[in-house]
Amino acid sequence: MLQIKALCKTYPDGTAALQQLNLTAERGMFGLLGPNGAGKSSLLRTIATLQQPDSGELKFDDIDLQQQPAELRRQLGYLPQQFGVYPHMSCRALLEHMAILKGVVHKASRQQQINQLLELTNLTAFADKAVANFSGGMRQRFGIAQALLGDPALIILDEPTAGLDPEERQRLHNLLVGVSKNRLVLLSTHIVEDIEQLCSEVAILQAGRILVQGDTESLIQPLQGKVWLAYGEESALPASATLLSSTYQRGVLLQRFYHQESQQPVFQNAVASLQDRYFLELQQQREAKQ
Amino acid sequence: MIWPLIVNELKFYQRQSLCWLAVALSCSFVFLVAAGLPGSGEQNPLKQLLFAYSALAMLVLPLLTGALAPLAFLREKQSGMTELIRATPVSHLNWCLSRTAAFLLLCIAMTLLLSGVLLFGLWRVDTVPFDQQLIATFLAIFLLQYVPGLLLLCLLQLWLSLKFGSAILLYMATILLWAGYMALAAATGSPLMANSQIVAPWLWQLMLYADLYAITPLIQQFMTGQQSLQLDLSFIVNRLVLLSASALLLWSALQMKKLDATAATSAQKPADLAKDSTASNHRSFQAVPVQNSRLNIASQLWQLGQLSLVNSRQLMLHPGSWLSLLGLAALAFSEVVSGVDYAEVMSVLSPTSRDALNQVMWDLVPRFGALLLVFWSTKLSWLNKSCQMHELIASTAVSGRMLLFSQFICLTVLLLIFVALMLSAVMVAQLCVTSAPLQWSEYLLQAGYQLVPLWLLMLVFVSLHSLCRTPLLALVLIALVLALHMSPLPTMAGLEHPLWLLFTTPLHAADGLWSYQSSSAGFWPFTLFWLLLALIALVLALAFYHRGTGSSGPVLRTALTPKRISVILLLLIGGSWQGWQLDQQLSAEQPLMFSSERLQWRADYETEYQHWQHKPQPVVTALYSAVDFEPAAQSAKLKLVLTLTNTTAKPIQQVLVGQHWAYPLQQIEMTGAELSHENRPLGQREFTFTSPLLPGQHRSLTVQLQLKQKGLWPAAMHQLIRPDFSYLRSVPLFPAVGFVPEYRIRDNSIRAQYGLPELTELKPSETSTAQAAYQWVNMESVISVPEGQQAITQGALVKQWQQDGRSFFHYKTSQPLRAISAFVVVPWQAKQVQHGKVLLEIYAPEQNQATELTMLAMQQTLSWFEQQISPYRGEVLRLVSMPELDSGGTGYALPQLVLINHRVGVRATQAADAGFSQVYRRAVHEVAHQWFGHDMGNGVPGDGAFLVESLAKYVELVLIEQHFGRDAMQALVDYEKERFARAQARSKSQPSSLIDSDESYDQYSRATLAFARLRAELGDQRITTALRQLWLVHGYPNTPASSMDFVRQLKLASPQEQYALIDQLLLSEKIEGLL
Repeated sequence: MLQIKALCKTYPDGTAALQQLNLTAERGMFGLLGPNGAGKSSLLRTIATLQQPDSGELKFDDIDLQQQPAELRRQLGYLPQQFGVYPHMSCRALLEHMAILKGVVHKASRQQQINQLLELTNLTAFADKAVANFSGGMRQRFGIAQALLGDPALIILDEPTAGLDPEERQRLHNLLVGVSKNRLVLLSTHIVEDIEQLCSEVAILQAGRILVQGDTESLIQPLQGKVWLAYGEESALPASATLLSSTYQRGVLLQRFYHQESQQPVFQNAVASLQDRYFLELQQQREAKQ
Repeated sequence: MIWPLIVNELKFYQRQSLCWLAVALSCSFVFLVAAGLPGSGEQNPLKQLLFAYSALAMLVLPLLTGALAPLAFLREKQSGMTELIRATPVSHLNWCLSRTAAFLLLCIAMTLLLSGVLLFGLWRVDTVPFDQQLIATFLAIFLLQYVPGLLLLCLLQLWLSLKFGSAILLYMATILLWAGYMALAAATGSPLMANSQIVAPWLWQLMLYADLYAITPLIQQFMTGQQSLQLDLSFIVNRLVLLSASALLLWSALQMKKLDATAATSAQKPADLAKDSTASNHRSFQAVPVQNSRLNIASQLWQLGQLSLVNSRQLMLHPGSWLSLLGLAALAFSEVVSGVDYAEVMSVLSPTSRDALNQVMWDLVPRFGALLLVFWSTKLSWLNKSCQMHELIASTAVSGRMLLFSQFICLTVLLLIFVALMLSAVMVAQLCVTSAPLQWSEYLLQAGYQLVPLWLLMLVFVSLHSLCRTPLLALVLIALVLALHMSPLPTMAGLEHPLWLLFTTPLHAADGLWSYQSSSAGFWPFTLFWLLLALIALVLALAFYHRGTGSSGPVLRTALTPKRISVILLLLIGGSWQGWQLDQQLSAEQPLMFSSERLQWRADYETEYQHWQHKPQPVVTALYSAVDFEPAAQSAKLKLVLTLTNTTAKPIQQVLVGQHWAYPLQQIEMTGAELSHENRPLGQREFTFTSPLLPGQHRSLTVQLQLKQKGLWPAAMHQLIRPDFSYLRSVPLFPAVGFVPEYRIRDNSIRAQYGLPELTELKPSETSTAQAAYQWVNMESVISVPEGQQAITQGALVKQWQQDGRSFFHYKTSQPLRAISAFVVVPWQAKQVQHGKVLLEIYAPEQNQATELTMLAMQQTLSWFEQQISPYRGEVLRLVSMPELDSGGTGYALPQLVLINHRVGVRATQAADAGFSQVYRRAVHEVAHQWFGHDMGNGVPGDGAFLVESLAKYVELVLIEQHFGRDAMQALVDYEKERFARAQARSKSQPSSLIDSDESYDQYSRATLAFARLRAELGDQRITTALRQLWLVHGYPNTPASSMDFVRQLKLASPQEQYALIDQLLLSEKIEGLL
């Protein structure tokens, strides 16, 4: 569905945001993971035709994104990381405006879709209020609603859960699962848990390159039985272990590390997660650089 | 505590490219202005310095502070850092003080740099000597004019930033302040504004104490004749008022809250999500299917309409828009109400819709319209980005073409609203103050003439915003377009071709006499050229549009499709063709010779032909002209036969015949002579006689020339052919015989640049009349015009007949007259009055109270001269109404023919509170030139201004007192006294005596005051005795009189104790006692 080959993008200040990036994504939820500055937003903005790559190929179905950006935009729903709104415009009026821009010109279907999206995003009660006065969470929900306008085949969501409370976040998860059944939803977030819950496929970016891409389950599976927990300050990790994370649990140091076997009985085997794989990839990347 | 903050601020500015850009742009501007200043000549260095620095203050300081103020006071808001900054322990007091102090220091540093550039420029062109006095004056100007002014400007920007928190509003306020000050300066007769005059005395008083740059109180000092600057009371009060206003602004700013973090300053409580938390967590999304294929045309139009509607709504709801529109409508209303019936000082007219519209449609509407378009196009083009919606919008399916077209529609609608509002304001004002019916066609016509260029500007502005990736870059380019569009920058930079004046046409305001005939022919050809240029910008914008994001747009290979390349090429070819056509037509009508080329021509002429000055040459003693006018086709054919007579005592072998560079002769022949040499670049021909021309012998020089005017140049004196008014003067149209000293460059600094030796010109008080001679000729003319038109020239009408659908007029003079012939064609009949032996004729579109008064003035002037000096020499004196013309003045006297501006000479009447009639005064003045100018005051090279203009002012005084009483005469004296005070205050020239002065304010106003004094002290009897004697001794064909001859005759007619007074008034540069 989405095919990216050898994509490169360097900004005028010399920052190489994307370097020979290759990616393929089919229908469903696709998660993009990566630390700050990994190139996630650059990749999403390029796919959204908001900026031109320096080189490489980008295709969505049969659409060449560089040659036919307008064709892609007809099938696109986009929620940027940050966005604002026009002053003096109500939520419904602004959705109307966006719907028209997206080509939803038939009044009845537009009204029907706007009402449905207002309902879905829990904004019906505030439909006639100015979006400029919305709180951060409400504005984010408005952003999601506008992204879903027009039955897009490709939805790009850059940090969609930022600013949402847990309940709203859960509601959005449910919504996205429904949405992604017959379309591609590209989801970029720092919250690995979101991707683990939602995405069937994941790519991990670092320094403008894809470190690893694949089925979420298949990415976690190789780590099963190899992730260990060490409690307390005294625990000395094996020399060949890779420290994945170091946190505190009720004031006690809790270290997760990757190792083929426990070696010491004090270490507990843990169920591997996508976050473990993410940290492992980043750690290995750092080690490779050194 | 504050000092580290200030240093921190200064370090911040050091890293801002905008600051460096502002420095580069303003320095370039100042350098250009300084480069365009004339050399020192006879100018007063103190005034030069003061006026140059005042101009710098007026033009640059508000724009400099306005451009940088958002950086100083609004940067955290623009960068989304408000909360971060608010969270620091810097108090509001410290924030205000540190920001203002650092901003003030930055502005002072920049202004010092600009001052240095200007000082260098002045010193380079030798305008001011570099000495201690200069440094002292500069420091005084900087400390007392600039620093307080900058303080107020900085505090005003602080206050506006805190009050409104919008950069756009800061820019708007800056533009209003900038334009408003210049408007006030123009309305108070500031020497910095060309052609400015005092509209109301209270405005002058206001500026005296509230002038931001204290220019008005300084000018007032010069008005009293003072030549150095002092800290007088009005200057000190002015500065105190300014400091008080600054303190008030600071106090008010300190009372305000810090900048708000969000756009919604009302800080409404955000709606709460929790209210609806019971809603289901498991709703699923079932998309309503929509048509993803391309929209049909109806849907696209609907989409376009919706986009345009939202855009228009966003712009119109912006306070900057509606405040500007309302403010401009109010300004237009007040302009019309206050000035619609103004003809000139002390004269009013019965206004029409055209007069009302002319008050605002040719300056206020185009200038402020362009500025509004800058604001609107900037706001609209970057609306999505400023609202951070750019990515949402750019990622939708709407095409870039649709986004751009919606902007064009939105701005077109706003433009229509703006013009409609201005027209409405004019209409209401017209209905309020006049009883004239509304001329709807005039309203529509003027609206159309203003809308078209503004619309083209709008296309270009939006295109530039669409092409540029940052608003700053787009605004720099737009500022460049505007500078070429409506500032004097092209002229200052030596760009003299009309096509450098971007998006302007030659069209001028309509005149009551001949509507738009002066310049309308150039409107559509120029508009077509600009349209093609704008369309190229539009196609490029469509190709490279960044969709409002400011990010990189389409790459070259996808943007420039073969179709687009073809369109751009077609437009380029069309534009180049049209530009070439315009250039050719302009050159054909009036050769496009730039000032440097003209100077080179003069220098070459002098170098090549100055030796002819000392060769004996024949003079023209008779002139026969056959002229065929085609006013509708704007063409004329002339055949001239000049009788050349050897008036010298030596035989003449060769004769030099020259043509003016602008009017090439088609055919030229001389009886008994052969063309021996022709210099085509200089247009000079040397003829050699087959047998020498002996003293007293004659030869005929026959010349043919054809004039064709397309009307691309606006009509100007003295060669114009239009359907309702044509006028050709023989100088410089006709060939010149011998060397013409007037072609020489007079400015010695320019002469040096062209390698010419210094030219020593004697002042009138030093002139000798040894070489003086009258150049008078007999004239005979046959003029043909289409039926219904009247042909007018000098001499009596010998015969008139019709032939082949044309009217022929045969005129002949009975005795010689000054060799300046002129031909006028008008469609009006004359009003005739026989006054003694002289037939008086007035040609005007209507005969009314003003023409009756003019006829009376003609009769009374003729009678006075006949009784007191000498009778009129001709048989006929004709006076013709002329339209408003560039450099045309309000009256112009030719031998036996007077031209009077229709607006002030025919339409005007005396204002209710006026002490005398300007219509009568002007008619007397121009008729008096038949004696002072065309009888006496010619024939002595370099002398004559006093004998021509100053003595005509004397006649004004006498006749107004004789026929309207002493009070009327005193009113004229008072009027000229005020004019003189202001003019000499704004003049940069060194003072000189009345006789020697070449300043018009001396020749007219000072002369009036001097003669009023002489009349009071000596009496008219002595003055007229001197004049009579002058005519007896120096009248034609005797040796012409110089100005000093009059002084000598006046002394002869006066008692010796009055000699000192005569010397002081006429020969001394002192003006004490006159003001």
